[in-house]
Amino acid sequence: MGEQKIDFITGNEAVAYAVKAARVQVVVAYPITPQSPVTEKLSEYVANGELGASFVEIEGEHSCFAAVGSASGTGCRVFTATCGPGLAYGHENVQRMHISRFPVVIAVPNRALGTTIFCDHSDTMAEATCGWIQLYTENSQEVLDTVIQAFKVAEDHRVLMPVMVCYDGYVTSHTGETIRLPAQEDVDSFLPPRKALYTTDPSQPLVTEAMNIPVAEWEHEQAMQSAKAVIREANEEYAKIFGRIYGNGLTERFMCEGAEAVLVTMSSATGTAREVVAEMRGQGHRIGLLKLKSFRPFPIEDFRQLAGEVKAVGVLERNETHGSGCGEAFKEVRSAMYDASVKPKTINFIGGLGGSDVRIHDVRFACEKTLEAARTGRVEKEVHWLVPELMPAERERTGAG
Amino acid sequence: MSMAEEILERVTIAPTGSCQGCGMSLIARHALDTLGKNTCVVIPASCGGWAGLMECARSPTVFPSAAAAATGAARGFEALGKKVNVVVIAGDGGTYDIGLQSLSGAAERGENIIWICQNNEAYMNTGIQRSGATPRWAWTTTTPVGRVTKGKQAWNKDMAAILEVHGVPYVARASVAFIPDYRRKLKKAQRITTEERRGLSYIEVLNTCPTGWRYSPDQMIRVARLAVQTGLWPLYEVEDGVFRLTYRPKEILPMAEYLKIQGRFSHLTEEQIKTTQTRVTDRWEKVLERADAAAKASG
Amino acid sequence: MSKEKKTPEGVGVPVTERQVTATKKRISAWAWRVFRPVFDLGECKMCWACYDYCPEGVISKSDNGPIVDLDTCKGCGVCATECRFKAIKMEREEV
Repeated sequence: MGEQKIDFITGNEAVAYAVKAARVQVVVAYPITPQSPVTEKLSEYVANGELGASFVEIEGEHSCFAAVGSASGTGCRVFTATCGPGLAYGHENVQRMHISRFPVVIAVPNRALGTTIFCDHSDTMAEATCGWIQLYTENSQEVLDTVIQAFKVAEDHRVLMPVMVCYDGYVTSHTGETIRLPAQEDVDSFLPPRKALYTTDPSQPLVTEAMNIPVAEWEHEQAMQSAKAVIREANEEYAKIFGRIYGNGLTERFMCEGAEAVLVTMSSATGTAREVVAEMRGQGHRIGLLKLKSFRPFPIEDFRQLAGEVKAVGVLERNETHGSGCGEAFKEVRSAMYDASVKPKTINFIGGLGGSDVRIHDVRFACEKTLEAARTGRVEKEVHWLVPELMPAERERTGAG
Repeated sequence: MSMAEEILERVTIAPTGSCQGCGMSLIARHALDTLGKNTCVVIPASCGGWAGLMECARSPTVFPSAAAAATGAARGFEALGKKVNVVVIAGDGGTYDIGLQSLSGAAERGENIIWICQNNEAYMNTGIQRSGATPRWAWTTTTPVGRVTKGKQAWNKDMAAILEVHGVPYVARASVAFIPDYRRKLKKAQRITTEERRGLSYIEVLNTCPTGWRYSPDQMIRVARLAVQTGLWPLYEVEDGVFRLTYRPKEILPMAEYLKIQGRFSHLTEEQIKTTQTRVTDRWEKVLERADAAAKASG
Repeated sequence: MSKEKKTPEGVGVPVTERQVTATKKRISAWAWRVFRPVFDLGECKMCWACYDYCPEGVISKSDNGPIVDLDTCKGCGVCATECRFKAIKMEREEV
C-alpha cells in the first residue's frame, strides 16, 4: 500500500480530493452554500492540470443534473455536488435519472430546504423516492472514502444506479479534521477506469431511456437490492487496501454487544452519540449505537436482525415529514421490524433541524428514553422533538441550551 | 430551381408520428440526413418527439434542459476524444421559453452544440398553446378569440437576435421552402461547431405548421415561401458577427397575402394587418441596411 | 445530377427490420390517408422538388423519376402543390 499522507482539511476538501483520485472525467457544477468549496477546489485542480477533467460551470442545478446524466451517457465518469434548494431545483432531472441506468455520483453537504443555509436532512429525504442510492457519512474521512467507493458501486453492472453521498453541511463540510489521503496508485487499483455497459455513442445507436415501463421499474428495484451486496463488497475491499472499514457498509454498530436498547443515528450526530454511549456504558447502562449509513437501499435485514436482539430502538434523525407525525428513518426502521415475532419498542427523536445542533444532552435524553422503554416495556411518547422551546425541563436539568 | 446536394445515406426513417404536411418532419430529416450518422441528437418535449426513427444516437432530456443535456454529451464525447455532432432539435417552447436559461448558459460557455429551432410559433405538441414565439394577435388555445380579447396581445421575441448578442460564432435563419440554403447552413454549422469547435451554432427554421396555423396541409411550403417573400422571415446568417443576407426576394409581397391564408389570423382587423405590415416593413428595411453595410464592409 | 448512381432505398436504412415494420404497422398511413399522389412521369422534369419537400421523405429517386412509398405516404399534398410541372396529382383514395 502506498503512503497515505496525513493532512488537516475540511469535508469539502476531502470530497474534492476523492473526486480527483477517482479520475473523474466530467465535472459539472453550480455554486451553492455549503457546497461551493468542493467545486472551487475541483476547478483549481483542473486549472492546475492536476485533474484532467472537463469542467462545466453550468448555469443552474436543473441543468446541472441534465448535463451530468448525459455526460455519463457518453461513457465518462462524472461528478457534481449540490444540496438544499439546489437539489430541489434539480428534482425534475433527479427523479428520472435512474431510468437511463447511467452511473452518476454526487456529493451532498446536507442543507435544509427553506430559508437557512445550515444543516438538516430535509433536502435528501425529499429525494428518497427518486431511485438514488443514498449513503450518509459521519465525518470527513468517511465522506472521502465513501465517494471513492461510490464510483465503484454505481458503475458495477449489477447496480448502474445513481448515488448520493451525504455529509452534514457546515458540521462536516466546513470543519477541519485530520485525515488520511489515499495514495493515487492504490485508488487506481481499487477503482479502475469505468467500463460502460452501453452508451450514447453514435457508432451503436440505442434507445437509452425506458419510458416508465413497469417491468423496467421492477428491474431498477432489483438493482437497488443488488446494491446492498455491492456496497458491502466495496466497503470490505476498500478496508483491505486502505485499512478503514465502516461497519458492513450499510450500517455500523458501536457497543451493541449485550445491549437492551439501541439508538440509531445518521451522519455527524453519530460522532456525538459515540461519546454519550461510551460514557453511559461506562456507567453500566446497556445502550448501544447503530449508525444508519445506507438509507437507500434501506438495510431491512440489519434491522430485522436488531429486532431479535434488543427491547427498544430509538431513532434520532435530522428530518421530519410534516403530516406524517415523525421522521423518515423512523418509518423505515419500524417498517423493517414490523414482522419481528417480538417487536422492540420504538421512539423517534427529531433533532438538529434547520441547522440547530444535536448536542450531548439531546443524545443523552434520547438514550435515556430508549433505555426506559426497554426496561419498562412502555413508551410514554412516541415522537420527541429535541427543540429547546419544547424541552424546558431538559434545558433546566442540564443547564445547557 | 437548383437541386439540393444528393443525400446518400438516410439517417431518418419514415414514417414519423407527426401531422400531414408537418414542417418539423422536413426540418428534422434534412438536418440529420445532412449532418450524418455520427450524431447524437437531443430532442426536448416538442413535435420533434415525433420525428421518427433515427439511425444515430439520442440522449434523453427533460423539457427545460435540452441545452444542458447537449452540453453533457458534447463534453463527454470530447473527454473521450471523439468528434461527434451534438445536435438539438427543439421547438420554440424549448428555445424561447422554458429552454431559454439552459440555452443561454450553453451559448455563453461556448458549448459545441448545433441548435436547430423548428419554430412553429406555439406549443403545438400539447395542443396549440401560445409561446413566446407566437405572433401578435394570433389565435391559440390559450389566446383564443373571445368577446373581450382576440388572440395574443404581446409581440413575439426574436431569439436569433438574442443568440447573436450572446456572441456565438454562427446564427442563421432558414426556411423549409429553401432547402439548399438550409442544408448549406447546416453544413456550415457542422464545420464551425463540430469540426472547428468554436462554440454554439444556432439555426432557426420557421416551421409553418398547418394544424396549428389552421390551413390546408398541402400549402405548407407555399406559406413558408410567403413568409420569406414578405420580408417577415429574412434568410440570413451571422458568422463571427458578420451579417450576410442569403436570399434577397426580387419583390416584397404584402403581409396580407401571408396572413389571410392562415385561420389563426382570420379575425385580424384591417388596422391590425396594417400595424403588422408596418412592423415587418420597418424590420425588413433594417435588414437591407444591415446587408448593404456588411457587403460594403467586406469590400 | 448525382455523381454516384446510388438510389436510396425507399425508406432509408432501417435500424432493424422489426422496428420499421412495427412503426409502419403502428402508423399505417395507408389506412387513413384520404388522398394519394399519382405521378405523371412523362411530365416530370426530375427537378426533385418533391423529393426535397416531402415532409416524410417517402419519395425516393429513380432513373425514371420519383417513387413514393405508399405504405408511409400520408397524402398531405405538398408534393403536388410544389410540382411546377403539374406532374403530380392528388387522387382520392378508394374506399
